[in-house]
Amino acid sequence: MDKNTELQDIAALMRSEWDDRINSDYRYWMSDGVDDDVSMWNSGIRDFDILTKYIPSVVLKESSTLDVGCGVGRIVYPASEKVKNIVGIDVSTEAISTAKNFNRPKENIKFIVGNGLDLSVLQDNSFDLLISFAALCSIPSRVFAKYLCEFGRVVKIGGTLRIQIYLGNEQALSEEDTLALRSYDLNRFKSALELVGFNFNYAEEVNLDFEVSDYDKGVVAYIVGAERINVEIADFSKVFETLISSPEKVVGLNWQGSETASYVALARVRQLIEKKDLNGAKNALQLAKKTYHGDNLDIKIIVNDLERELESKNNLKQINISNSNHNISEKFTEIITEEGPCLIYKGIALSHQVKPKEAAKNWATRTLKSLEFKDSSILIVGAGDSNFALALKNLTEQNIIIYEEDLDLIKYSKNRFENTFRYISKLNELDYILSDETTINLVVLPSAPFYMQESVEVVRKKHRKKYLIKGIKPNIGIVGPLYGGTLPIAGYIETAFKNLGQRVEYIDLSGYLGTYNSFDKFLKNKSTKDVLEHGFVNLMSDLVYQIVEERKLDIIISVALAPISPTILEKLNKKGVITAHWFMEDTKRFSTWKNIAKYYDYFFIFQKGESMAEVKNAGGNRVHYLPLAFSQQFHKQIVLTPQEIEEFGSKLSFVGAGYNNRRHIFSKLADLDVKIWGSEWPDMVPFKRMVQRAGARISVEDYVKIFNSSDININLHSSHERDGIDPSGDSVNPRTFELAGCKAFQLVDERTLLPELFEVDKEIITFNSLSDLREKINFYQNQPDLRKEITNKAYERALNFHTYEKRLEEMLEIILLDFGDSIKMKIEQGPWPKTLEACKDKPDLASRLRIIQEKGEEPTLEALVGDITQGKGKLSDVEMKLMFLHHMRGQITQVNKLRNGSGV
Amino acid sequence: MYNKILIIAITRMGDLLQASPTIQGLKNQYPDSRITIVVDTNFASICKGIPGIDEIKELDMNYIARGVSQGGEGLVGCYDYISKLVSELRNENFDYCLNMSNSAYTAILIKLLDIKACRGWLSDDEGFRLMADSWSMLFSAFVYHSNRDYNGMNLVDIFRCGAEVNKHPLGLQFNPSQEGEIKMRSLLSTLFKDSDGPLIGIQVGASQEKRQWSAKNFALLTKYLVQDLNARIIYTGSRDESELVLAVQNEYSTDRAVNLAGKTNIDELGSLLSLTDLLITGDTGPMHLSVAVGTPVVALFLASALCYETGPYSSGNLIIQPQISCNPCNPNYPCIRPDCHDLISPELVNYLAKLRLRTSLEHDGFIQVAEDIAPSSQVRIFRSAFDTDGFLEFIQINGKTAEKGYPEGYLDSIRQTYRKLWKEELANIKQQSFVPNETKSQNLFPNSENIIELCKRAYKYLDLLKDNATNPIGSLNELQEISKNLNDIELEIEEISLTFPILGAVVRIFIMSKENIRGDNLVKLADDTKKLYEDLERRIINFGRFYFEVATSETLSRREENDTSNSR
Repeated sequence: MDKNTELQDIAALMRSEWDDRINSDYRYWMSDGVDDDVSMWNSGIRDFDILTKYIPSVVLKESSTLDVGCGVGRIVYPASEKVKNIVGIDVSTEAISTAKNFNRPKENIKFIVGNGLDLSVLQDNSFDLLISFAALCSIPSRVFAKYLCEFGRVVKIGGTLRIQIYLGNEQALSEEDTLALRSYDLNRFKSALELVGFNFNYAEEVNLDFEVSDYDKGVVAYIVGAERINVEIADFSKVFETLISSPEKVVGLNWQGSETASYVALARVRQLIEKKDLNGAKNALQLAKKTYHGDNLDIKIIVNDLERELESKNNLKQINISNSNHNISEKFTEIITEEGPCLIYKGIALSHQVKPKEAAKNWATRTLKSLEFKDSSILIVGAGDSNFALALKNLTEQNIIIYEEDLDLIKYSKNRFENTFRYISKLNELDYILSDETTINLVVLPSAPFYMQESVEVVRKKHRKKYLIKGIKPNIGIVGPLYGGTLPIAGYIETAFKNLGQRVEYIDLSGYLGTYNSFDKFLKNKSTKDVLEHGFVNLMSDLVYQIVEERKLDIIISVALAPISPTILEKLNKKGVITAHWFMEDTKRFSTWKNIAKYYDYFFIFQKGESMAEVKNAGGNRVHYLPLAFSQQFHKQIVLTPQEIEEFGSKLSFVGAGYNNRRHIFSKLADLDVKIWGSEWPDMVPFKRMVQRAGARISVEDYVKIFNSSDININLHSSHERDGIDPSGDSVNPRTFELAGCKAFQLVDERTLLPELFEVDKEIITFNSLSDLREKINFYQNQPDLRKEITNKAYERALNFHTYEKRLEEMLEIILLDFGDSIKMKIEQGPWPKTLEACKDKPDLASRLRIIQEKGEEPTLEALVGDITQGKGKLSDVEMKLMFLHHMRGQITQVNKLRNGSGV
Repeated sequence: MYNKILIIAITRMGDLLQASPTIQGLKNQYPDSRITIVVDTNFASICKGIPGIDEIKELDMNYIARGVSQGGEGLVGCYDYISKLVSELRNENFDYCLNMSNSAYTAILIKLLDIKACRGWLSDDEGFRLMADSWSMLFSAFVYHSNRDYNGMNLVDIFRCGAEVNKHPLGLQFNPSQEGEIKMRSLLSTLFKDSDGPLIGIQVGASQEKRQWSAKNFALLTKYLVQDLNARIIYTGSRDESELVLAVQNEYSTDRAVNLAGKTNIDELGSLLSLTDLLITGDTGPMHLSVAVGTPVVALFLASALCYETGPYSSGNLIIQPQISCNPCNPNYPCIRPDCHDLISPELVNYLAKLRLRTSLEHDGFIQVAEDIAPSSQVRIFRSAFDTDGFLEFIQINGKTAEKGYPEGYLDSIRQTYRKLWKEELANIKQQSFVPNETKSQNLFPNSENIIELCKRAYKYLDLLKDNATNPIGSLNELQEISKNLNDIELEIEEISLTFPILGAVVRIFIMSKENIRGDNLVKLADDTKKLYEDLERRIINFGRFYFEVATSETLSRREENDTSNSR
């Protein structure tokens, strides 16, 4: 059999097996195992969005697109709404005919049956975008190499490739297997891509709500992004050699079918039995049996079990264990095997039904090998029937903690093993353990995802979070505004990130305010001024972009009114820089967010509900609620001098600008001894007497003194539109937290979001009307002890929950949960790992380097010297040597400069 | 007595050759010592021809430049490289180290080596450069400050004295190999049909473009030399400079002139120059090499080049220094219009070349160049010679020049004065002066009185300081007051030196020495400081004495000259 015929045989096998699968149950085989078309289309939208995450919609709209391995058009249909036109190609004739029969608009869609060998039906340079999801990974690698060559041919120069494949360890597979996951070595794959004319842009791990990667095997799902830059395409054999180190074996006539396909088919049988669709289950079982006719004992057992189960569900011996002394629930059925008991719970076997002990031992052995932290505790999610936990216990001394939400399962387990294990059943207990243990391994019981899927995800996320913040140190840039109330907050954010040990760079643009204001000073014509101001903002944006480029920042966090234009945000996005914005103004009153929300990867606001929905409607990608906070460095209890108390102190004070509603309220408090601090108050009675420093703006230092020296601080949220107190006010202003941080007593107007931040009446006192305010002033002004008690509680709460450190930890967690892996990969691909590796036998140099790494610098001599020159005192040996290199380089540069023509 | 000597000379070709009298001098002084030199790999081959060197350690600066700019692993590689070099050198246990490079990194290198006896530029614990001896300070005072105009001492002598070398050869040293000489002889025989006419080298290139005379000028010069002397011309230089030569040949081409730029290695170039009768050059590496192999030069000191500093270190060379207010300019800045180039004509250079070739060295003392050939207001022509103390000097042979707005010959007197002062003060060579060693105002150089007065005030405060420090009930306030007064005095002295820059170098050395005084012991600090003020006072007085000596002998010799011419 010559190689070519062989490949044609493989193509024929691909077609016939996929035809079978499509015929049997296309929804299951096409996507995540859904039962209806709507869910299938939804999964198509989801995957298309994952594929094209970094491609701006305007670009997509103009793209002629090709979906390779399109199946029944799961992605083609939803994608057709976002691209110019789309061609779907698949080897399965059944798939294409099913695709064509859907009653959905298909003006810009074309479906083509492919030959399973190449894309010869398609013309050269005909597509702007080539996509593929959950298809290429099952194609035998020799065919895949052929396809890769074809990708180079059909994608236009400058066109884009976005494919989902698996990267990691190569798997020993047979070419005849049309379903098993192929996984490629990243570097080999990159080189293969280059050979067919593509420039590799990125590989980003795919994370869905369910497991898509098999980390044990080293098979990890990735989206690979590439751009076609080269006309030259290497020949197939070169590409194939590069792609894979050892070709897949060809079994030929002895091929017994794909075990993977069999397992997948059997899983469907199980699903359908649980859904009580016995006919469907029988069909699925037929397919499973047709798919595989080999000797795999496991498969045989499962097939037998399922057949038995299908024939009669009464075969099982039922024991009602609720009669036992331990009051265990009726929801279990216990099977007694030769190796001991196995529980059936909600229709799911919690252990192997024939050999629970042996299966558990195998699992435990495998699990132990893959543990990240060899001596740390192991957290098992799901108690199951405890067979697995016990197997683990027998193999390791490591401490085992079990997270299980079903108390009956815990009881059952305790009944069997008494206190062998530590159990927790609540998420807050889990939080405690995660925060307590320095390192902890997470292990998910095989059956847990079936009976507590949501919790498994929650626990996984919490566990991931624990390591994300500590493990990954992205280069973070903060962009503040030129001026205004949010300017100091940018500084608080910088401080907080530093306190969290993160690498952060504050791009403080406030020094340019004078330039910005000068337009006003020199020009009268508004439109001229607008043009210049616009140009100025663009200049600031460009500056930010260049800084991001130069410092190689991973994440840019801007605060309200930071001058970054949408154009620059798009450019940053293309560069793979993650952009986040914290909008710390009321979205209902300020509309600047409307034009920018859609350009950011993350948009944080301090409101919920309607505001959140509005930002999302305006195109906000990932919109999150993030309330404000206080900065421990700035907002704190201080001791004032008698002069300061004289100047800043009062019985009643208010700090803030004279917005309409505030004027309304304070004009009616004129009979009280109120000191008002801040600008924009009318220069008239009664404010004239109340307003201090003739309405000058108050610095942070000064308002902290005011907070500290006033008996009662009135905190009235601003409103342009309302008189007095805004009855629908939701957001909580920074002052609320800052007052709490200063242990200063405040009376604050009621806000809908306040009760979840402070316990009203205990930690904070609110008012809802002028009369209420007066009443509370009257009451609290004579209760210094009570005030103290309340402020202490408010402080405790603020310290534990409302610091900028807490907020930014949360923000970073949110970002890293999505992008942590790609940032980690970026860092790993950067110069640092190799540099530190290179100096592993030079600990002194390594520790010097680590200092600058912590600061977010690159491993350059400039960075090292910059750090050394900041220090004082005697230079160490390492520092001397580095200074030697620095000065020597300086001299070489100088000599070269003089020699290279700049001498005249 | 030193046995193991380390010399750090990470410099270029010219500087290495200029180090040769010091190296040979050290060897003369310590004949049993072993001398190791650390040099830039690019110039290591020069060291093979410099006598006195026993071992050469190379430092690959290209490797470091590359690695450092790569960062990351490249940087770690450089670090490794330096660490190895440092530990190799440390293991040698040198007992004396001389840093002949004035760069910050060599200073740090010496700090890393931890050698007890060190001369030249050193570094303190914090990596700041430290000048351990007065000669290094002198170098800094003249090179780095606006005192260049007053220096009359060649850098070779400054370096040499810094290393405490007095048994030095009168001239740079380089021994080309025999093979090189054979090769060059045979090369020359193939290049020129005859051996008629003198063999003259012309070095067209220079380290900076602004120090490079134009191709047109060199072409004309070649033409004149061939016409007038039937000279055989060889253009020397590196491979990079070959293009410059081609530009000259484009202007004027003759089979009497051949381009050897880039065709010789350093040893061969040395041989070649030893075979030539004369080299015409700028202030370049080949100029020093020529001098080192005994071939005189006619040298054009353009732009930032100043013959007093780096002029050819041997007797019998002729130097042209253009007279223009900006000369010598700052080497670190480019020049938009190098007017100084226009002050030197090919005719003049041709004239000087012929003069040199036709006058034997014994008659050098009689050489004069007439005003109409070299107007002293436009160019100064010097011949080089050694004085009786073995210090090189440059003697003007085209009359006297009014430099920088000073009267004719005035700045030369100042230079002479400084030569005397430093020889007496720093090299311990007693200098003659008829002026008594007294603080009489008529004996003092203008503006010296103020400085002397301030020194006297400083003595009082320093005594008070000592009293206060030794007094168990001394008051802190008083101490602060005293130290404030001392600071004020120092500032005042510095101010005077800036207003009257002729005294600048003396004051600058005082200030630099003060920076070197460290420690916690107040009594010792006061004593050390007082010594510096005494040095300052004495030097200021001596400056006056020597100046009047120089000025008077100048006047006398002029009078003699006038008398002679009158009697004619």
